[in-house]
Amino acid sequence: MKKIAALVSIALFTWGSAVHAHGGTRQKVVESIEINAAPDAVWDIIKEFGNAKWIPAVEGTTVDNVGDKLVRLLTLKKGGEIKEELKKADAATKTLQYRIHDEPDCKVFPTNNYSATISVTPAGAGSKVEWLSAAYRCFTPNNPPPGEDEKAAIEAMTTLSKDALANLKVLAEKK
Amino acid sequence: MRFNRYSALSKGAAALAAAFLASRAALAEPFAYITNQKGNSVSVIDTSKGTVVNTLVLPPGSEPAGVAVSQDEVTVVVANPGSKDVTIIDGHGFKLIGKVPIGTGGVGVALSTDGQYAFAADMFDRAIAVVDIKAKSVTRRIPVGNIPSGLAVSRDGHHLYVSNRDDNSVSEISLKTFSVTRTVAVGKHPFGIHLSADGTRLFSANVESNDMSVVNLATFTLLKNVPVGDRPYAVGEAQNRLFVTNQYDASVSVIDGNDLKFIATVKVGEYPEGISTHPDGKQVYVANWMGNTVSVVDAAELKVVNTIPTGDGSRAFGEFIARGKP
Repeated sequence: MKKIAALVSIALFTWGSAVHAHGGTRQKVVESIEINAAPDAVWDIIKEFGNAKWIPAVEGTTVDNVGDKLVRLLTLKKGGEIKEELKKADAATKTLQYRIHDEPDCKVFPTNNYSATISVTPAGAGSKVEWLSAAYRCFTPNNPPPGEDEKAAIEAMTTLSKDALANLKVLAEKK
Repeated sequence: MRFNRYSALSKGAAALAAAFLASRAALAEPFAYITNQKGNSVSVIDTSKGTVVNTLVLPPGSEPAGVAVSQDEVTVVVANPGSKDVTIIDGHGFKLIGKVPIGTGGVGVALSTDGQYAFAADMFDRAIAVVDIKAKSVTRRIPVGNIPSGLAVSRDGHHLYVSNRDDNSVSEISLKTFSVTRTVAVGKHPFGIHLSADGTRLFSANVESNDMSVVNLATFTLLKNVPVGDRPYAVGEAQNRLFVTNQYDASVSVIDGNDLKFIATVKVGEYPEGISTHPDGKQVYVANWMGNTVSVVDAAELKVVNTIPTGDGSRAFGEFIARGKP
């Protein structure tokens, strides 16, 4: 019995560490947009980590404290969920930095170890918003299938940030 | 006629002298070889000028990540996890001279002290491939732990060290028997490793436990885990201080080499990864993966003194500046 328990715990440990591992090389996506609105006005729209409705892919957001982390659960319009934790929401530099909290379903957001930094800086009379995304592919062992490879990770990050920045421009310039 | 011959001879002598001076200059002021993972290139920085003086283009899909430079700077080896091979580069002529397939590929690479062999991590196959540089082929494979990542060769050339990322351990390999002699448990997901200049300690940057493990090399036991920043990647050393790159903090943590206490945090570019020390011991060079730059940090003043634009996805994992002859 003891032996079985030990085996089970080894199996769990191995499985547990495999979940956190990643394969391939980290990929990055840099998207930016110029907005005809003051940096403060743009920052106002994005600064609340618990309110991600400015991101078009997001249906709703709930937020919770997990240990010392602020964690948000994004429910997506297309179905599925993404759980992210805040690293910093810095008003001085107008920078929002966060990362994945639980690795997502590869069908929902095909990435592993996702992290993002969104910053608002002055540009002429308006603002420039830059969204840096970084992640490994969703499939962590060797030889990923299509849809869980680097290409899929880049596409997912590009679509998410590009659509969100375009929508942010519309929202900020409407004000 | 006689005058002309004399002139030709003196020209030849001048050329020889110039070549000699050039090679001397190259050794005195070494190059930093920065792998650009997304740009599929290697930026060569002349550290005396603080600028990129050459860019070596690799085939699309190579995703160059790891790098090692021989002590005499003659050989540079780059590990390409994308194309699952290593590229051998003539470090003086800035020419690609061959590539060698490495099983499942990897990022960690190191060179033997004589520059004749490269050690390349075969990441998904729990092995290190030993590459004969002249023969451009894998001559043997050393079984190690799960997801071998960072590699370092001892200054006496007798041992190779490897971080086994998914085993949370570091192993010592005898380069006489080509087998693991000792293994020590460290922090969670050790990646970059560094051997202290005096050869008594090994340091590992532990990506998931946000700390740096310090291993006593004589006893091969864990001395301490020192807290650093968010998602540490690699360790450098200068001025008897350790410098740890923190990917998510865009910073370098500076730790005192004597008491292992925190000294300062230095802001660098976004997602700093590879780090190497200039042989003059005064500066460390940091490759910023998201920032596409290299930050040059004054190791005494603890500030960035130069930021050099490089290529897309500068990673430079490994010792990317020649140590110089001991």
